[in-house]
Amino acid sequence: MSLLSVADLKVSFGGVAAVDGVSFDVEAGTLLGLIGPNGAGKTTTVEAVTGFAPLASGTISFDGHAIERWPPHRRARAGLVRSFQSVELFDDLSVRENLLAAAHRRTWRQSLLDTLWPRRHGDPDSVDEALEATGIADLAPMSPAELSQGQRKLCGLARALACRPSLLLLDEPAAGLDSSESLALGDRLRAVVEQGIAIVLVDHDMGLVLGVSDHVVVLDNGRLLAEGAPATIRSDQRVIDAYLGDDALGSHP
Amino acid sequence: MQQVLLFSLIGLGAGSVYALLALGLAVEQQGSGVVNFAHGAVAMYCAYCYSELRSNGHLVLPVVGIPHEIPISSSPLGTWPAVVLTVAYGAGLGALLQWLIFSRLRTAPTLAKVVASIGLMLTLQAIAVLNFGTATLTTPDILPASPVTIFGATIGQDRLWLAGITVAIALGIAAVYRFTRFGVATRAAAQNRRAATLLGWQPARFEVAAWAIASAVAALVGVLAAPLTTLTPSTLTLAVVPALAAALMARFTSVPVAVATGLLIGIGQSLCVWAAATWAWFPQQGMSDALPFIVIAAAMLLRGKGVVTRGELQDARLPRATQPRRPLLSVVLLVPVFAALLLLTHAGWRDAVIESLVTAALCLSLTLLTGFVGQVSLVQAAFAGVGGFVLAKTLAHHGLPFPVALLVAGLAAVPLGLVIGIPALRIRGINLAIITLGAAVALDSLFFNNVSVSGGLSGTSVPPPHLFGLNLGIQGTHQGDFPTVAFGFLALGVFVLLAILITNLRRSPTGYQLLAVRGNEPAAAALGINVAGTKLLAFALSAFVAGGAGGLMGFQQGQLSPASFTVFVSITLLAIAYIGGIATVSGAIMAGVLLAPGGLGFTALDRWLSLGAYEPLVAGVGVVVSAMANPDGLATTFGRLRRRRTSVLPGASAQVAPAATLAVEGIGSEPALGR
Repeated sequence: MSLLSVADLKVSFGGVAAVDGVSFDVEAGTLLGLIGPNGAGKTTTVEAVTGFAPLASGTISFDGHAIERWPPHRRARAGLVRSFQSVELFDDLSVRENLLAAAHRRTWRQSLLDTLWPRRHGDPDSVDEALEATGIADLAPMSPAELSQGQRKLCGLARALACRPSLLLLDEPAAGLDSSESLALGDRLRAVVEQGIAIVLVDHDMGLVLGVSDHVVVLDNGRLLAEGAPATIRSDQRVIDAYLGDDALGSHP
Repeated sequence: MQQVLLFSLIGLGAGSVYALLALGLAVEQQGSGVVNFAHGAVAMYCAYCYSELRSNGHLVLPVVGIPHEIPISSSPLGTWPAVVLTVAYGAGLGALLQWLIFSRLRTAPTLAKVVASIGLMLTLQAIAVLNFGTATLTTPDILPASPVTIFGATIGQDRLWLAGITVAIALGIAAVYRFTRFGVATRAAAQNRRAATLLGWQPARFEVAAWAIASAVAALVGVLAAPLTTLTPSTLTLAVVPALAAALMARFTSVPVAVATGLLIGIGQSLCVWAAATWAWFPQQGMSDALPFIVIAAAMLLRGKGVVTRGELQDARLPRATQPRRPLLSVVLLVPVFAALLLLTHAGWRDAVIESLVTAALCLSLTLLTGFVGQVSLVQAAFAGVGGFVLAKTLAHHGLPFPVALLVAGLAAVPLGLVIGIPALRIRGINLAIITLGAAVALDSLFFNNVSVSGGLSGTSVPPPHLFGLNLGIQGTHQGDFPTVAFGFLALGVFVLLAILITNLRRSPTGYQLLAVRGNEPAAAALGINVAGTKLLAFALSAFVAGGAGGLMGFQQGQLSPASFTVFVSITLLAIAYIGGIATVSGAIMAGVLLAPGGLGFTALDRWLSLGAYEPLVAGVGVVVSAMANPDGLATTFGRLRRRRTSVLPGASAQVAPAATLAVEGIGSEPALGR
């Protein structure tokens, strides 16, 4: 059984269907690339899967649970964690504290105990592991305001990893990165997948997506245009017409 | 039925006041992006102005110290010259306030604007008290008051005139906004100030004009409405609450909705009076003050987001909540200082130390709620009141040792905290400030002014605290032994304990999550943080802290009266907590010591400069000025100044500078990293 199973997903905003009957599966420990031109419904798909956009119809099953009605934080606690296109770090917290906020799970009882004995638990291992995995351990004490755009993106990724997800949905993690940073990001994402964490990667950087994905889903106008292995997608005429263009193929051989 | 009609018609009087004030609030909000909590206070001051013109021909300025009355006529002014002059006075006052205060806060955090406008409200009220006293004034009738009979109900026709004038002014304002260049430009600037500027308009002028118009209408309200009731510094000031309800229902844009809602609230309040007289089961008091709160809550539910903020505003910006670096060291330094203060002082000064500690404890409830989680609350004194009165009741019946009694007081406030927290799950920022203000007014009259709960004006007596048979009461064994050192230490102990709880929370994983929710709710939810649960937790804990502090107030005062927990206390509390530094424990201490009414700062003011009577005024002006000068709060500014002095290489010192200042005492007053 697939880790995530999205079937006939429909999302509309004010009568306009942003996502119109999309289905796809994500297997545990694999990387799925989600691509498509602007307005294809990629981000909306991520929002719907993680509970940030209301479904018009369709089913989402994650790890054997039907999660359509779960609020976002419950999905995240079950292991379904997203990142944001605009990163959305907590500016009041240091990088490390950003990760700590994500790594701890708190019940009311624990929170009340926190007022009496704040540091009875050490920091969860996932914090240091996430800092290591993204290569930003040296940035841990910094404030997000001091980071470059590339560093902010990595911090967002590290924060999501600190939640110990089983599936990460990354919304344009490479936007604003230069090509060497983007390559490095690809390596880090593969390393994450090797640890058994599945990833859904939404990005415009075709070199990155086609280079690291196990499986690619192409959306156009809210519908599924094509899906398959990166090599198949690269040569799919419909995808080339709708999105990639000859130029894109040329620049990312 | 005839009675219903009669009371409905009577309600038109108050309804017109709310409708006109609501229009002014909408004009100001659309024109400048400020929700002006002082709008009722402006009407109040203009009413005094009119009253003075009519009684002795003097024009009163909103100043103290220097002569505030300018004789412009040797005899009382006639009705029409006085009306015209008062309306012009209102327009001038509004323009001045916008230019002097709010134009400088254009890019300030929302909370700074809220605080500035409540500071202005406190200031105008304080000036009115100083210049005119608190005695009620009756002003001469201006509208024809002879009775008329409509469908068998006989009422003074002045109310019908007032309603007619209200509709006429509403039509005028609607026409101005629809048909004139000023109206179009203001609406455009409200959407996008920069774009309007690029079109060659000067939004700054329109902002001043909007305030002038709104305040001129407020002045007219003062002139027309004061004869219907009586004039005191607080009546029209608090009329801003139902007016805010009407303006919210209109989303600060729709003139007809604002007027209709305002009139209906007035009618509804009047019908509450009728219902209380007719039906035995109907609450005998308080329902009419609860009505605006119900309308506010309904407006938020029905109309979605409430105040629609202007495109360019950054709503969520709050002062930095810095990590306390050496909490233990701070306690070790702080306790001896306060202990020495308590031991070395006596009588009035010692009382001031205690008052500072108690207020600081109350401010801690805001440190948690507003500072850490970003929830603006104007109802904290009500939490304290619940704690105080529950403490009084339980102690009178069961002789509990004081720690248990205080715990009970804190826990008693938690349910109210949870109830108030429910609206906060949907709304935030300025809207939350409005709904909590409405709740505070409703609780004032439903709960605290209810004789069976609070004992009325005479209050409820609180037995002195005791532990292991020791009497720790504030009144010693003989008359001169007041306040006792023992009680001072009790207050210090309670404050330190609460401060430790808050500091622990900030340093714990829960604290990171509170700040995560304050910073970015969607991002927090995406990481598995339960945003709704976190907010409710914050409200519950904040109510607990405030309730405990309220219990302490009970011990401190011995005789607990509802006056200690009015809506103005809540307002003052948010203002001084913000000025001290809303997001840190050191800010709460700063607020208690420097700014608390009756605290050390004001006692010094009174003893050394004999300015005791000016205390509320100094507080009000201080709040306005501080909000303008330090939008992030005193504690943050002090920390920043200190950091600047100690850092060797500005700019390149981001990581070095904090390390250099870490050793400095003060619970968490350091900005953590280069800011």
